[in-house]
Amino acid sequence: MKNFKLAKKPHTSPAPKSLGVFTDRQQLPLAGGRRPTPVTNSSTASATTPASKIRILLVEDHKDTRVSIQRLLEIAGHKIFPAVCATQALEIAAANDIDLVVSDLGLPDMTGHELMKQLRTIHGLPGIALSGYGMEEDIERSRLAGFQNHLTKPVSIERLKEIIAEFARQIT
Amino acid sequence: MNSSSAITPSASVSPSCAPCTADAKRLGIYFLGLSAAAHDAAEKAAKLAFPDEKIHIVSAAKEIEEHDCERCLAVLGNAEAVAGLTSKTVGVPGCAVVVMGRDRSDVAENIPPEEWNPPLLARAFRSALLEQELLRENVRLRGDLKTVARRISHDLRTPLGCIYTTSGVFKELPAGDQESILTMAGIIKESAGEISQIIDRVSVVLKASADPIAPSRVDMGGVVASVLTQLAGELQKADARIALPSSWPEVSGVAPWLQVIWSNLLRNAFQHGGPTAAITIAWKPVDIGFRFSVSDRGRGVAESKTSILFPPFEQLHSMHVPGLGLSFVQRLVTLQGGQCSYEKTSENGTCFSFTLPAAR
Repeated sequence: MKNFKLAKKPHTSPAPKSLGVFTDRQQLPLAGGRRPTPVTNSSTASATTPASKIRILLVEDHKDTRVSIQRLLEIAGHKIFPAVCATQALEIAAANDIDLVVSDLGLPDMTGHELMKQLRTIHGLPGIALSGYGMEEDIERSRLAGFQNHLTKPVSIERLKEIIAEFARQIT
Repeated sequence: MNSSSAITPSASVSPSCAPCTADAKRLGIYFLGLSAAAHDAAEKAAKLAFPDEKIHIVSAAKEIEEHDCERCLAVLGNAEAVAGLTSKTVGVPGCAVVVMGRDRSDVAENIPPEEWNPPLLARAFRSALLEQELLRENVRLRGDLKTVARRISHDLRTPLGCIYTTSGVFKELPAGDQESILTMAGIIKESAGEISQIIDRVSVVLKASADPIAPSRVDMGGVVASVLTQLAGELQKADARIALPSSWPEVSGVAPWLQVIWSNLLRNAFQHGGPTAAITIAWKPVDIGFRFSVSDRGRGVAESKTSILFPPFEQLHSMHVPGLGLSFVQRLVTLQGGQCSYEKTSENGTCFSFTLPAAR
């Protein structure tokens, strides 16, 4: 399997990170015809390359979902910065060193797409969209907003952890 | 409640048609651009077709354009009259349209002069109204289906996804972490409750829409008391205080639908009515019957969003609005012949209200 490495978060430059784009249904081609890095089985991958722990901005207005995902990712060793809305997410991103955004799309103050555009433009962050909408046009909209992945709820936990682990391996 | 505040009708209702709202029958017939012969025949036909209805004659297309009623008939004469109308008026929803004139042979509904016989025209008028009503119903039902397929499915996936994720957390919790186990069990229970609540309410709304129940005499006080009992736990959790009127009127409505309306409005107040919600439930007589309101001291809704506060259920599939509750309210109130409104009563005060006809 061919992996491509990512640079660590460019703290001085907001240039967006390059990360393979794939969804829970299919892998989307990157701009320029490049294919994304295929996601491997998490247990196989972790057996050969241990995933690093990263700092994740988790944006979810549904309290129970937020608590649950936060707990799940904390057990995996990641540092989680929870936000209940886009405004809070932008504040957290401005004040902390974040590696990755995991965001719901139906937020109370703006859409997850609008949030992702801002986080990408200002901080160069990559992101994973979590959404109850999973049509092709929804996935495309997420891609255009700057999300690298679009996972349709109910999200497979293994899949989410796999993607985050893959991302963590690429930035370290 | 500040009675002098301007009330903003929801975008989904159509209260602005003067001839319709001035008449209990709620049907206006517009004549526009008719020749003398056509006018005479149309007037006789209209009286024959709708003996109890009000006939409103206008001469300017603008008046039809500005009216927003879904239950009117426009009888148009010359080509200019037809061309002057926008697709909003002629389309769905909009007026039913009948064209009387020889210069519009390309219009399917055109009735040529040789058929300007009042009984024949009367049938054409009734058919046009019926066709428009069926088209509107078709649009609404298709919208309902799309909303269930997209928006309701989406909203169910959130608590469902939460249960799914939480079950995964269980597998990874360290042995003996009793506190986390209890927290996660609570999350699963709450999410299951959310799913059940969405299913219950959507079922009520869809059943009500597909198979409407004829309104009957309902004691509104009894309905509100029953809802408050059901919401006692949430009321306590929100630390809310509710002021109730000393008496209640009887309305023409459907009790189970009214329960859904009140519980949605009250939950809305619990959630957005401020840290310690002080809620006032009130009513007052209005032209069509009564206006019922739920006021709180919440910050209210941004002005830019007031027009979509009561999103029509059939349009939810294409709208980005946070909750479903006010959409359920809008549909159920409309089905009972009422209208929904929102007003900001002060800097820290909002009021959601709805009207209903008085009991007959």
